Amino acid sequence: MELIQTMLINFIMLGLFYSLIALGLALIFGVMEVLNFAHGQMYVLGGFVLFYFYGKYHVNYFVSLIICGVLLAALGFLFEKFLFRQVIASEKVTHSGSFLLALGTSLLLEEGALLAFGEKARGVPPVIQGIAKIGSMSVSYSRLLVIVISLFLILALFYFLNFTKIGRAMRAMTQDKETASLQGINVRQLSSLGFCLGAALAGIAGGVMSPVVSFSAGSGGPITTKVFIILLIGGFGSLVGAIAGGFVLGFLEAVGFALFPSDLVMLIIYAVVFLMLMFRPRGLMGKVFRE
Amino acid sequence: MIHKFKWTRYIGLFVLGIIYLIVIPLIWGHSSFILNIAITASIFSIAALGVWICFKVGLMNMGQSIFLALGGYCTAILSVKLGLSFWLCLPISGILAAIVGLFLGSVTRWLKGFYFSILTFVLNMAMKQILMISDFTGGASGIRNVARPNSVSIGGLTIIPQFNGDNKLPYYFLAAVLLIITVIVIWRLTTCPIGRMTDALCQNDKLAASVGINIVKYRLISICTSSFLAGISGAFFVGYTTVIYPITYTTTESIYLPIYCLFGGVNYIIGPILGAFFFQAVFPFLSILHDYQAIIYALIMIVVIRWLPNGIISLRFRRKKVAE
Repeated sequence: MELIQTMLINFIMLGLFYSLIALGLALIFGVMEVLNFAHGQMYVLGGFVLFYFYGKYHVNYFVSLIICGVLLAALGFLFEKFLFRQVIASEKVTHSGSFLLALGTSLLLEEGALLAFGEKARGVPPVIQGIAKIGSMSVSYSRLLVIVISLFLILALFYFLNFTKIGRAMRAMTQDKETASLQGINVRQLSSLGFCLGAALAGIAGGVMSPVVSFSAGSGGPITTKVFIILLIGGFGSLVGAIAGGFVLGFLEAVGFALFPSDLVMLIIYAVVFLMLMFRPRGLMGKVFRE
Repeated sequence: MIHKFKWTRYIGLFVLGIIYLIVIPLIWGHSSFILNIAITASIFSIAALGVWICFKVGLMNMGQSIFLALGGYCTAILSVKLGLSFWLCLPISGILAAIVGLFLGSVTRWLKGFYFSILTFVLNMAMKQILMISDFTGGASGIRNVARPNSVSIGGLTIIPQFNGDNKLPYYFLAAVLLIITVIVIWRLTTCPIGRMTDALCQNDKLAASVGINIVKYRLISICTSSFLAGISGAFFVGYTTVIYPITYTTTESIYLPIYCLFGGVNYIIGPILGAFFFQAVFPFLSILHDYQAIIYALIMIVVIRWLPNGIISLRFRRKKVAE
């Protein structure tokens, strides 16, 4: 019974957390058709920002989270304005240039973080000590906090995308850029905003997760891979798909790590991705990217 | 697009070939440091040419390490467990890698190009994990003491001497021969009708499909060739170093190969070779900067993509354009 409770809590927490981080990447992919390989590194940077502001200088946790978001958004803005915009404009057919650029930025951020912060694994103390009792279940408050903040951010993002003018313009852009610009939508500004928003989400996700899981400069790469796995499962080009994929991966990890050795779990996940690509390449609810 | 064959166009290449085949072994034949760089660069050039062939059809291969590892492990297992000669293992490794490449390519055959990139990227991670835990491949400590290429003689006449660790010259010539054969074959491929069709694919795949070019077929051909080349170079590395570990075949290593192509120039066959030789030759001399190697790679990558999308080779042509 206890095992099932642990699995359930881990499933909800990981599912929401993965959805949050995958939404950022799906947003960037939607508005710019760039696969942001640096997403995991941005997550790690968010963790480091929180480590310094909250862990070292004892700024309030929620203020630190906002600082994470703002700093990462600024980084995303610089990347978009000075690198991606020009490269995408100069590309004609293939996306290999923006791909490699994204890979380059991910290498840069990873090595930069390694040089600046060292290779030590970091973590911050929990925000609220103690354990909550929900019925017969006991959950630590820090996990509960992850769940609450992730849920809040996901709902806020969906409110923004569905009920505000800018958000709807952004969604129109993900469907068809040219038609959107014909309707008077400023595609350039919105690409920039989308990139900022995606980067900020990655940074905040790092900040949210750091009281629960410790991280180091090298832990960005696996996160990027996981986000890609989520999008392959959920489907590219769909924000709801990102959430669905996040929950599928959360489920596989929560159940898998409790029952099987960890190496085997990753192999099962890779096998799921491979079968998905073979039999339902559009993912759970993505749009079809056929030739 | 169709040039008249003029010798003057190829003088530069001819000179480079002579330097590569005659001058380097004559001058540095006894310096294992220089030869080591040249051998590694040649073999990385072959793997990078594989990535370049994928670029030619608008795909980006981000998991060349998968095929390098496949070739390497195939050779290591065949020669250690079955005692096969290196000369047999080399083509078998290439063919095995090509078959796996064909399979991966056919999974994503109807999908847009970025699916192939992500699939290779994700599978590269998976492969490392499988190699780490599998007993058959020796786990994390890998396979040691793989046999070096043995001597081959026909009718009492020794054609190929026994390779050994002290003298690197035979390895150099083997790498050179492999690279030159690869370049000639790829050159033929890109100038024959297949090459014209892949050019069309690269420029506008929808238009190409509408005039009846079978996109899937040419993509699979490229992926197959690419993984075959990677399999061969992986096999060579094992014959050269006699050891193989899973830790060598990371995604970072896979990413370096497209950097070589892009740095040298994606539009030219010499591009990946230039890139591989530049990176392999420059970094050993800058051993002080070893800690900063990856960040320098990243900066070069960003600068080249942002300001020189056709690689350093385009520096030569830019001046001419201004004059016009």
